[in-house]
Amino acid sequence: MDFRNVYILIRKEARDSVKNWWFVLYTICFSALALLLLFLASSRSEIAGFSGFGRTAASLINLVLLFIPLIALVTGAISISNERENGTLSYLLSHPITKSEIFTGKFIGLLLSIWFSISLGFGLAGIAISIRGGGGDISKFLMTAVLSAILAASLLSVGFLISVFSKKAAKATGIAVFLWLVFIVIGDLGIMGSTVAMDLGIKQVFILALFNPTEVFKIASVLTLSPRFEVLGPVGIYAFKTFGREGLFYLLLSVMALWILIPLGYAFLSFSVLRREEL
Amino acid sequence: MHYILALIVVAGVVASTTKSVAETYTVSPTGSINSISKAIGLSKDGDTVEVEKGAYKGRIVVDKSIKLIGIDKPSIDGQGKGTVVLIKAPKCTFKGFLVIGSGESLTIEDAGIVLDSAPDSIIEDNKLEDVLFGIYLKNSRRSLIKNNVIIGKDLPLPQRGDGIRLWYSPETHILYNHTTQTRDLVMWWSGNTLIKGNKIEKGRYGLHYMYSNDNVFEDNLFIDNFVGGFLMYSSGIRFYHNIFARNQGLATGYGVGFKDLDDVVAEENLFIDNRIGLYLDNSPHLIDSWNKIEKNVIAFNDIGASFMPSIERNIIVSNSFIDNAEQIEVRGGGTLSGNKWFKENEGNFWSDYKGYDENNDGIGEIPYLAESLFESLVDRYPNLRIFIFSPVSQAIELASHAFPIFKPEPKVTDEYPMINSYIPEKFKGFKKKFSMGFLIISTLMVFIPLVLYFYLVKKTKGKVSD
Amino acid sequence: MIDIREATKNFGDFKAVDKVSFSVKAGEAFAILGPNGAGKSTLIRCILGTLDFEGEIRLNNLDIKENRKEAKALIGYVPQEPQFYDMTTIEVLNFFGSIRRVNKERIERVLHLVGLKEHVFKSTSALSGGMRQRLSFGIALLSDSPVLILDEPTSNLDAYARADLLRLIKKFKTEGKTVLFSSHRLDEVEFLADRALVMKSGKIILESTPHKLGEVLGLKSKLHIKLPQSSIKTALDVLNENGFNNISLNGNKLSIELSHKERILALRKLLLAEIPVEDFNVEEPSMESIMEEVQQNGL
Repeated sequence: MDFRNVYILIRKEARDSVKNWWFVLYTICFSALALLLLFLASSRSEIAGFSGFGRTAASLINLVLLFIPLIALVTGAISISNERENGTLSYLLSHPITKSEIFTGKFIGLLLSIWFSISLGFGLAGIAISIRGGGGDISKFLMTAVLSAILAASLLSVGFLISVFSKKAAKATGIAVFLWLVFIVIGDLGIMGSTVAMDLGIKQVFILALFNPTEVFKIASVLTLSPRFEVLGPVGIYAFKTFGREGLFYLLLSVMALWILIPLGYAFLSFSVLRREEL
Repeated sequence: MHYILALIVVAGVVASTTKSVAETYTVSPTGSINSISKAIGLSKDGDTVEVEKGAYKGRIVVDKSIKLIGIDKPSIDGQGKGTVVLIKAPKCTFKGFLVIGSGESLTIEDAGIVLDSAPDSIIEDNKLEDVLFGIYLKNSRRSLIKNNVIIGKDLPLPQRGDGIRLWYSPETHILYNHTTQTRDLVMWWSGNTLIKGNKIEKGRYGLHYMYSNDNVFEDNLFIDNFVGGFLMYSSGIRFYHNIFARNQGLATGYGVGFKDLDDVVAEENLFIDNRIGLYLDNSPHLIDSWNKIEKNVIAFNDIGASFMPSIERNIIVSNSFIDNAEQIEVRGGGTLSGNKWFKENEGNFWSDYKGYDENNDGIGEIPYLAESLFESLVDRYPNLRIFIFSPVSQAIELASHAFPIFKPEPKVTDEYPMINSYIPEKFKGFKKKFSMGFLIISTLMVFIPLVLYFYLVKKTKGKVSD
Repeated sequence: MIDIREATKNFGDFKAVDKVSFSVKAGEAFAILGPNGAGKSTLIRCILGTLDFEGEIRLNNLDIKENRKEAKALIGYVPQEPQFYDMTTIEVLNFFGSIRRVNKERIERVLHLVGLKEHVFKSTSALSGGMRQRLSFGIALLSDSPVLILDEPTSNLDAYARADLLRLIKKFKTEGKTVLFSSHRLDEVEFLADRALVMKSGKIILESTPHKLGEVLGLKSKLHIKLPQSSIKTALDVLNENGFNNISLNGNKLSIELSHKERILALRKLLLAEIPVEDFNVEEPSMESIMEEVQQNGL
């Protein structure tokens, strides 16, 4: 793999995303919402010098959970399918550049773009917090941003997997939006339904929740932001007691890493190593 | 016979005269009296023993009603065995010492200072370190424990002793002490006490009443304990202006827990950042008893107030429930309609109230209903709490609004919700900390991407010279 | 320069390219002729290495399956309908220039060659079809690679742009580049190619020089002449005398079947005999009819 080619593709993707109206709109929305939210919440974020895992943190997690998976999935899903559909991929491939270079460059370029917008949103919110005199522990805030970045990477790689197997960008987008719904609502709803109907035990609920990268992100950020884990109920306590604080954190990080590596690896293999009939 | 009688009387007079002359003995490491026990042996009731600065090894037993005064914090070292200071006589004073190194036996209750049948004693200005129990009062009523600092042994919780323990010692006053790393501040069968201005941290139960009635505690700070205050099997407890913060024990973590508690008055306390702000179990338990919980601030807890099923006869009014992840929990589901959530046209402040105040009287025009479908599901199936803060919880709320058939019965109906929160004066005026580091890092988070971005983009744009 | 041995490409049961073998020598211009769907584009994509295939293709003795990237570096490719990213002309050139590792001077030189200097800051979507094709040609020239592969380069162009581009290709051919192109137009092939092959349904059905190809395939040209009713008989006589025998009559219109080169001759004879030709046109043979002809009669 020639990293000069990868770098060229990274630059192209980064550049394209600023020209992408949807991407810019998304970044503005995310930043504005984060700002608004923290301004509203920080007005009573402290009493007598104490603040807690209040609505601010919860809303921030919620915002991340709604926005980042959507943009990451859709961006990923469009990435290759779109170029395949309008022929630019085939044209690009007639040049001395390999599919692995294209795949890698595109992934890194898009990931950087999403990371930039996450950093922008978090940064603006952080400025708002510190001006209002709230904040407190910067390391927790940074950790949440890092977790969001990891979440973005995992869903972007799921998006790439969709993209590799789609000939049409519209279809890929449709699948991405459906998966987004599955990740943030339908999947959890299914676990909740089964818990009520089949009386699932603590362990089963925990294992099922681990299959959802957004849920894993949420548990990890609660673990980061809150000194106590009981906010997640008996399942949280079980996880905490079984693995310990650090153990659990690393477990969650590894699940998220798997959510990056497996879809991405599979997408990479099918796109650039196992040759497929057509592009 | 008269002679004999007279002699006895004279002897008695002489004896009591010599007794009434209070003497002061001075102990110093280099002086003629170089041990505290020796000085106690020499002294009689009413005498004073002054102890100069120095390290005194060995346990001491005070069996006379004397004053032991430390000058410049002399230390008494139990050398890791038994109880360091044992006071067995009434009306003793023990002041100004550093007490260290008790034994570690929970069964024989090794302590820093034990008052055994020593009523009307004063324990003041001492520092206790590396002790299993701190100050232990047995049958020692009307004592005063003031301005002591107690640091427990760094042991796992099951092996720790209590910071301050009262056993059948009513009317005791515990004022302005600081305990850390101990088990409980606990009173057994000790009524009419006053606990004021203490800081109790890193213990199990910050305050623990067992069968102790008519007690008052106020202006205390209970922080980083498993439970701020666990009040059990008592009646007539009144508490004001306390802060219960960050009490976050696994499975407990109550700011204050009530267990079989009657005729409680809780006013203007702050319950903040606990797992559960206020926990009520079978309280009140007498059929004619009412608990009053008024003007408290319950903020930033995972659960504001948690109730065991069928709790009744609590008056919960003028409190401010602020941004608790779940405001009210009813374990196992159900409603709390047997309690009073408002009186005389005033209810509580609820930060999640979505109503309005048309006539500007500070009271919302529509009732506050705690009727979250997600919360009621969680109350019934606690395992589902793992999904808190996930979008699915909001989706379920939305669904229950769209299809009212799914709406649960409200846990709480507050007919007169307050529009503004009430924060007692005591808890106001804390200045927020401005963090420069936070500002700098946030600013970097905005600008680094922008700079990188322009760097990446600029190079792709070519310029063609003519 | 290009050696193809039994290249085969199946899409499911459909054989798009079926055991195709041929060679192109360095400096040669080689045409692949055939109707739509004959497999020309598929074959070209195989040579470019953007499609997997069975068999062997070598470029300058490099097996393209093993040395895909090195082989691709030898090729400048002009697709049938170039698809560019949403960038300006110069950005597109810079992008592909960076992949080809060429410097700014080369990019400027190419801009000059393809005549797009005034359009550098135009978005590619605002370029006309001819300009787009020239841009894609420019990209193909960026690294001065020895092989030019063009997939029906003129199919979407108007007459003027087409002539323009053909001249440009011819120029590079004479400068020594190996040119491989596909087309479905005989005249282009005659104009550019040293050698040509005809494909149908994935198979090579004829390999020859364009000259011979013209002879074989030219039979099918038709000259339609409109005459006054009174002159028809005279005209028929004149044509018969000169050996034009495949004549059909339809009202006052004569249709003469003749070879590609005899078109003008027939017309000239009529004019010399002072027959008042009112109107005429030449019907070029369709690719499909050529195929039929070749298959029925062989060479």
